[in-house]
Amino acid sequence: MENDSDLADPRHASAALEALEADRASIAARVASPGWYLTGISALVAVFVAGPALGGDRSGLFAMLALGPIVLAVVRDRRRRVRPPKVGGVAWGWVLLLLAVVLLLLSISFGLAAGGLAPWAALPALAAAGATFMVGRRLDAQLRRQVARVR
Amino acid sequence: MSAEAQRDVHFDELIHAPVRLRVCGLLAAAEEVEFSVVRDAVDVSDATLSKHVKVLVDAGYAAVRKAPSSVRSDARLLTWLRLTPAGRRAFSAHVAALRAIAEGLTP
Repeated sequence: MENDSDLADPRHASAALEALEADRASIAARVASPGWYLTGISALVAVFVAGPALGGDRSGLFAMLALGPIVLAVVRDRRRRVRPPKVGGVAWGWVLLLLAVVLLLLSISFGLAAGGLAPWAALPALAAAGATFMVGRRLDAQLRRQVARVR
Repeated sequence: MSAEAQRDVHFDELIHAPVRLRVCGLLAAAEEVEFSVVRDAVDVSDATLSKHVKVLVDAGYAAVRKAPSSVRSDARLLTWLRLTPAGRRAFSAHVAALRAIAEGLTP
């Protein structure tokens, strides 16, 4: 049991702060998205961008694209058992930028498909997947820094 | 130190208990943390953690939420822990006090 002299001891205070930092680091490791989650989301985005070039009945594809991210997010959340802090404006900015890039690449894919160059839609699809993965990693790094900082 | 700065620095004896300090530190890092994650991180038994969580809840610093689990084969609920706004303010002020002590200053 600590006594009054311990409460004002700089060494105890430093030790307590170090323990807090170590705990924060463990939470930061948990809140980061696992590799399979980012890979899965990136793959779904690639399929979405490649969609115009796939032709045929795409109703099943749309169902997968609508449900896929939800399923991945639910599995991710159930495994990590930590609800991360809410993201700030900068993170939303990156998400909106990614959305703009994906829509641009989708329009390129439409153009390629309309021009009889459907196989080349793989390029914007891969670019979309890469952009999604990179933004996801950036957001994770930002979240880890935010969580690891003892306030 | 200004009055406003003094309000942001406050040594909280309730939070300072070693287990409760670490619990608050873990909860402050997230919106909610599941009970087993906190227990394993602090390395205490279920009963010990429950006792300390109750102290925090009674002080208005923490809140508990039970939710069904689809990962468990039984019907037991998952217990989610979070700091209340008052708890976050108190923890933040206490960490500031610890920093001041660690730097040899009087909070």
